[in-house]
Amino acid sequence: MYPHERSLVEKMKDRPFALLGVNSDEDLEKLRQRMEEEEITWRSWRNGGSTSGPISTRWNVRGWPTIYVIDHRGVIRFKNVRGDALDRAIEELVAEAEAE
Amino acid sequence: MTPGTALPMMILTNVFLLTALLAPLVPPLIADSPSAQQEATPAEIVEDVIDEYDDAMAEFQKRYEEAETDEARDEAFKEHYPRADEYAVRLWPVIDAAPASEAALAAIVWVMKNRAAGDRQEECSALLLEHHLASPKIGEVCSVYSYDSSAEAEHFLRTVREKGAADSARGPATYALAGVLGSRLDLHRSIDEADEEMREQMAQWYGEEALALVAEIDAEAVKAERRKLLLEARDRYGDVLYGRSQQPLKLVAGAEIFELEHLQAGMVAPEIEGPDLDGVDFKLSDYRGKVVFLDFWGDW
Repeated sequence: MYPHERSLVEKMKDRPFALLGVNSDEDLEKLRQRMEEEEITWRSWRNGGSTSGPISTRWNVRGWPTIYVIDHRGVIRFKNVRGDALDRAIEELVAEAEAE
Repeated sequence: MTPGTALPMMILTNVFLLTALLAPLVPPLIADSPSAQQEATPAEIVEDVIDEYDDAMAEFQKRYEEAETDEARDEAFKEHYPRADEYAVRLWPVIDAAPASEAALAAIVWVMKNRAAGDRQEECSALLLEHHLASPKIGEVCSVYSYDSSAEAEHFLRTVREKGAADSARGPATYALAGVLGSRLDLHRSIDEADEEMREQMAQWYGEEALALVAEIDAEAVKAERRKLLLEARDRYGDVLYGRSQQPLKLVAGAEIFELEHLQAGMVAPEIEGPDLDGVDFKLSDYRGKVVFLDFWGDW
């Protein structure tokens, strides 16, 4: 997952796009170390340090990772798309945002 | 402690150990003990099996957590993970001898909850419906079926929901039935999207008959019923606890209703507001104007 995400962030860096995480790891120190190793630069909310934290509970997340793609107007457009379908979805929505 | 007192204690310990080792092999040695002569009652057998399994699981977890390398974790898993079906072997005689008894009920519930019924699963659920509909305990097995799209799951849950005697049986049955319908809707969509090869593979996993059943459902009607069941689980059985995590139904069913009403494609995403990993607050709506790829993740 990380290499795909890194390449998306790199590819989209000058376009209206943001990758945001909701992170459920308990151990912050270990997580920071791993983020450095994996070059994870994008911003994440802290989900209370647990998979049953407040944000994932509200969003009824029961499997990890769970993915939403939200358009530039704040509307949910795709859920749990992966791989090529994810790239296509993001490209389509970013083009929509740029067209406005 | 002086050597004079330590020595007899060691001898005593050894005698005890020797007796314990020989006991199962040499019955006459213990025949004069009256308590050993009494056979365990069915209820005691069930209790013993469950206790032993719990102990073995705790032992496994301890070893697994203490293991420091992947090899050591694999080893702990291979050598110490207790297999529920091996423990179930001692429960089947209790179930077969008197399926209507309380001991059999406890045994069936344990076997099903631990997914150790194997090819006797359908028989177990039939026994519960035949003999134990009045027991609140029947509610404990409902969550086993919540991701199951089969006709057997539906029949079991509908019967418990309609004829179960206790709220703690009907509530979980109602919520798990919503889960069965949800699984069917997911599967229905997958069948629609699948190519020829995928469809053949699905037929192998689920069976032709089960797949045909799901392919033919009226998705809109199933969606409507699922919603009705979730509302009922939340509003009528809200305080009943559900599943392994033992959360109240108002919470788990409420979360699914929230997902139906606010987290579908085409709906405005709910606000997220809270601290980032450095403790600095930020909001999802700060990113209006940009496409957001929102990833619920963890490094595990």
